[in-house]
Amino acid sequence: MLIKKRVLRLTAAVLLLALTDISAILAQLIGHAESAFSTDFYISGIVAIGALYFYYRRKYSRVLRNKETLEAYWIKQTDERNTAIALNTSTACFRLTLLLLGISGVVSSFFSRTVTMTIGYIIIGIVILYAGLRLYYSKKY
Amino acid sequence: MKTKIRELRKQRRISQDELARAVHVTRLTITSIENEKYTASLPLAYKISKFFGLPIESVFDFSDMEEINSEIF
Repeated sequence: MLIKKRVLRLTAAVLLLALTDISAILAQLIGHAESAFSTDFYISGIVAIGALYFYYRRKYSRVLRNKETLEAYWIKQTDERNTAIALNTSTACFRLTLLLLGISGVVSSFFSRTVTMTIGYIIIGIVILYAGLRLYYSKKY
Repeated sequence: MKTKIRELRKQRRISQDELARAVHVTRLTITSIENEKYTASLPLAYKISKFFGLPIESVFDFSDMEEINSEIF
């Protein structure tokens, strides 16, 4: 079930990116793309996600080979210490991201108003997202 | 949190790996619990205690928690 969900999620991500890339390439061909950079960016994205897709497909097919490897994988994925590590990492990463964005906002204010405003909107967006998720989880648990 | 897991394991000649497999966690989790670096959740503490056939308070030492309570209140 765990693997099935992950494969489905990965497939959905690849399809979504492929659709975006196809539209970007079409826009480039028709001549409506903003720049060649955006097309290159999307192509790099699909190559990276495609590589990841095949890597995980191979990994999951190995895991599904026998019961022992599947059990070992399941234990590794559901292990509570690993979950706690992932949770603490995410929290620290979130705080550091906000701190770095704040510092970047202050530094950029000396050079560019546009960059400062963009960083400001990103911080506001993250805070709104945080508040929304916090509300959702406080109602869930 | 202090535990008697290592002691109980050695008494019964059970490896960390065997215990880990029985309670569905990684060997590193058992190592961390034994070294007091990680505190097991209630379901895991229950599984470990059940594995040894002992009540939770016989495997895990809750005296630290009582000290914390007395410090707070």
